[in-house]
Amino acid sequence: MTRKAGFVLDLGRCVGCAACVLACRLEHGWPGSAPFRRVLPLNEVRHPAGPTYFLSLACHHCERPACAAACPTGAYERRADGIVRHREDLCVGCRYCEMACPFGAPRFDGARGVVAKCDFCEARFERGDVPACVAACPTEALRVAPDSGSAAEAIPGFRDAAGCRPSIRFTLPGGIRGARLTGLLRQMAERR
Amino acid sequence: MTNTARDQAMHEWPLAVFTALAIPAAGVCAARPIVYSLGVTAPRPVMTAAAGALVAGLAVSLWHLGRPARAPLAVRRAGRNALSSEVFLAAVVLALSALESAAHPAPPVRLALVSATGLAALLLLAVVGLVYFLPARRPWRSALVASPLALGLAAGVVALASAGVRAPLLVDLALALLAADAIVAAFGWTSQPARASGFDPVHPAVFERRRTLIALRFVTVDVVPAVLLLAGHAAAAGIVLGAGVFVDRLTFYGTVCARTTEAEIATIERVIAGSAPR
Amino acid sequence: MAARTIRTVCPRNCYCTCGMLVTVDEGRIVRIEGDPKNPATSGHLCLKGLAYARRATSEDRILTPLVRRRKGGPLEPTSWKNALADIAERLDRIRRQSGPDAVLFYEGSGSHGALGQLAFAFWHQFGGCTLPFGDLCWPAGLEATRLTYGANLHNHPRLTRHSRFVILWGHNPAETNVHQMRLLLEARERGATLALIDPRETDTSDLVDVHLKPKPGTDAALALGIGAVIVEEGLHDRAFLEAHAAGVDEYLRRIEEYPLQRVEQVTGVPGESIRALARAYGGTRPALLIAGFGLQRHRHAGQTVRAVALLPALTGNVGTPGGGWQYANLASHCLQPVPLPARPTAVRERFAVARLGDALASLAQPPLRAAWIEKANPASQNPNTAAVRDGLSRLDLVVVVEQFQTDTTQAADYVLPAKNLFEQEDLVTAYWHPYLQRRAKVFEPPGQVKPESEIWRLLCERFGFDASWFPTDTQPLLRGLLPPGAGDAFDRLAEEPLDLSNTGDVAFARYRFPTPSGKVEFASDEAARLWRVDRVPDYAGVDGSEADARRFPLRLLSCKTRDRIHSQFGNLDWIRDVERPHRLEMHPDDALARGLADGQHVIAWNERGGIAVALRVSHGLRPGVVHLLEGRSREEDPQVNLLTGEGVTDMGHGATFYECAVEVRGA
Repeated sequence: MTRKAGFVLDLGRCVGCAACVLACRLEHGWPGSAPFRRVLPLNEVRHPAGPTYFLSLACHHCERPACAAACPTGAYERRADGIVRHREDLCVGCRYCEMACPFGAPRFDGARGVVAKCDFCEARFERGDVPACVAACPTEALRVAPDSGSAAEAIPGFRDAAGCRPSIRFTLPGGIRGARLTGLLRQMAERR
Repeated sequence: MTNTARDQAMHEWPLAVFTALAIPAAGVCAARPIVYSLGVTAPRPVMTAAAGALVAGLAVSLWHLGRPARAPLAVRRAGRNALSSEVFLAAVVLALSALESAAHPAPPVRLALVSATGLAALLLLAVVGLVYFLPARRPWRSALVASPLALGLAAGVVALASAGVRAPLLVDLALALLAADAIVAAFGWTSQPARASGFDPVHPAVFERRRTLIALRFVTVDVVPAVLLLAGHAAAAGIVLGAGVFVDRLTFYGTVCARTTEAEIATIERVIAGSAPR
Repeated sequence: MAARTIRTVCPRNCYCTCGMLVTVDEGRIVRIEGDPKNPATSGHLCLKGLAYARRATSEDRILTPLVRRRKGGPLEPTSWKNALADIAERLDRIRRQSGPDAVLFYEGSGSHGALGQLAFAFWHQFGGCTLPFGDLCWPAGLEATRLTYGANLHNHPRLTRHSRFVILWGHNPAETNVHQMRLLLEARERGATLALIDPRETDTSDLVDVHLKPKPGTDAALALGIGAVIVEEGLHDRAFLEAHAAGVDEYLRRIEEYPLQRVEQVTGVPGESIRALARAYGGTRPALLIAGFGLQRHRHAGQTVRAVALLPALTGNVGTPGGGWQYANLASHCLQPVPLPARPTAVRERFAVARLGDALASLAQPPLRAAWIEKANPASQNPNTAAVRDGLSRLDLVVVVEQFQTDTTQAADYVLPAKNLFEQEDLVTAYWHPYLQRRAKVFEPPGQVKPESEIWRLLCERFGFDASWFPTDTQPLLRGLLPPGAGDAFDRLAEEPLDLSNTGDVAFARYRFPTPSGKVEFASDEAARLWRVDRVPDYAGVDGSEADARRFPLRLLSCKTRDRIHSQFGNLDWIRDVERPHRLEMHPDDALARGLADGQHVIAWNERGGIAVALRVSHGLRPGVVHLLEGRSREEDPQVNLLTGEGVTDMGHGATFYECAVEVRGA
């Protein structure tokens, strides 16, 4: 049975340490190129009305990828295992996918004239390993998503507003972070 | 806390130039069969200029590509993908125009060619609009989808008028098309709030001047050319509109907002800090 | 040549001391991963460990000796021959004129490895030198733990998962010991409750269940207050205290002076929260108390740590898996000393390292005339930067051994290019897990770079000293450092980290405490005798006059970030792309009172100096507390140590970085 590509981020474990970002950098042809993964903090000023957490995000290998729909040459394909793969040999560097993706995954590499993005460490995944970012996470917050599970599809700071069906899920935190998240969700529900 | 700056320089400027040249050029080709029914023949210099503008525009758009030598790959998904169709249709318009000018066909064939070119150009204008109808971009996903069509046709007819073509109703047609363009642009630029939650300006410095640029766009594309046309100064109207098309494209690319996770986060942070959510 | 994977270890001043696997192909690093065979670091690294790939190939690496031919002039490349000849001549002249102890040998914690001791093979033959005593970081807590339990040992980190209740006190493992964080989260998943005591919210506080925010420096009162509640509610372990503790009666009398009302007033923590925490900690077994070094960066550090360290003993959480007191674990420090020539009397330990600036200015008989600085960056990292820089500038000779340009190389007459972790084999101990690890030689040093041991050997030759103390092949020397009975451990270290301590996973499992009484000392004669502090821990208040408190009402904390080890790594673009920016963090109430807004450029200042920095309004602080990250790697980083003072801790000769009063105004 093919393993499915997708990420699950445990918000109760991620400490925003950015080891995942550097592991990606190390894996994909440094020096020079920008990493495919980034860590975005939410509420870093620690306002108590909401949680403070970190979103470690790369490409979400969407079920309906905006990049693939946008590409004029057909340089994107979605594999059976869910990996949305960019074919560099078909890329003309028009950057249309960059405009279309609501998550900022494709990045234009000026030096090489083509776009590049996270490929879920295709080669590693094919031999049964996990992506470099997942392997590197010191708190095991970032994982390959299991086939089933009850993790959240959307959390404050991340949702699928454009209908792309990203393959990323979030495990909700406990502790103080969890309590503040619950408070925020209640506040947001009341506002509607 | 990823500090790598997003690409803030306007990398889309070749696209702005390309569309500023291609939209009026396609507009002239699309307008040609229409004004033909008014008894107007497009003068050769105008057609040559239009073809030249389209070629120049395509050349500039090649500049935007990371791998220009691979440009022919871009037609691979014509019919299924807006951008691919745009490239394909631009090639068709150029090919048909070249054919017409090289072959010097007899009138019935010429009419067929002109109509075919006009249809291709019309489709091209429609598709250019569709290319930018992206869920992740504002205000592109709005009535502005019809803007290349409206602007192109208006520019095409005004170009003919400004080239000295005299025909009854030509100026009226130009004014009507300018009015249509103004209505489309008005809906497009105002139907969505400028700063929407979950969206961030891609070029903040240009976005700050949004209101000025939009006002300038209306003035240079619709208001001044219309006034000049009414006053009988068609040539001047053409020149102003020519400049106006560039302002329109600069505004279009320069003030765009993209849906990003960063913007989504900023929205939530505003909620947390107590400001009203949108 | 095929790619090869080599086992090594990160030698930085860091709890984790991660095992590393480095894959090299055609002379360059293609992969860096954690060593899965280190049971504490479990195959993971932090972003800094991964950044070694960049650090090792940085264009900013110093590859040749540099000389500054005139004061205020630039550093220029020179040869080893010329550099060492000139340095030797000048050191010799200073020695003849003023004595060998006119030369300061200043070694920091920038790189760990047993071979570092070889420096003294030179200095002993030189006739001596001046050394600081104490340490900038952890000595108060080390001494406090030693006085209380007899030794700095704690449970193996993997036992954390057995804890049912954990208190982190003055500790931010999410940033400073990320593997500990994973272990805590595992404990939490198994049902443990996590509590944090820290004046500010951090990446750790997000993930705990309970967070108390006392005023900085009041932890002794809080600890004694918690002790009082524990005893009041009968949660102390009478059987344990009866059998294994000494001086309990004096302690019980002391805690009577700390009723909740007083503790609340002193610490700013609501009494009910203190009671709840005390009940939970006292009523849950096994419970673990992990103290960080931040707890002890103020004058009354030792008494504070003693007060906190007694709580596990009070509740009988000693010698059990899942329980214990955790501060530092020196189990891996089992190596023999490096063979050295006899130590002459003129090795003069004359000043606490926290007072470097003062020592440079005022040491006499003889005054300091030269400094040799390696593995350190005192011009930015020591307190009272102005005094340190001024002092260095007045020396006749400053030699700095460094990989990159730093504030300290700015003061140097000579900069000698230092090796990095991949360029010399060594043995590395740790202070959290019990593993000894072997640092492998992966590359030849590039350019003109030489390992420090080689620099010392060449300098010895210049002086005509016996250079045989510095073998060209260091492996036999390293083998000889292993404890007796270690057998073929040196070879096995190539395959895995080794625990050679024979101390077992559970510290004090047999309740044998190497203290004078053989028991846990709630009251300590030794403390009173050695350090002239109270036999029983007490809270001594915050130093400083009322007037000073009015002029400088804000307390500045300068804490650590995951992005750097002090001033290391911050110069790399890989780190700059993800780092937390340097911002002065201030509570909204304090910002409002001063008319300051988020993002505004401000000046933070006190009697020692002022620094310009951008403000960040942060709700995570207590009012009255401001925070700015330490660790200055680049010219544009704020110089927080311009503001910190040269106070010394009540025991251990440590530094008082967090006892820094400032005011802040708009720039």
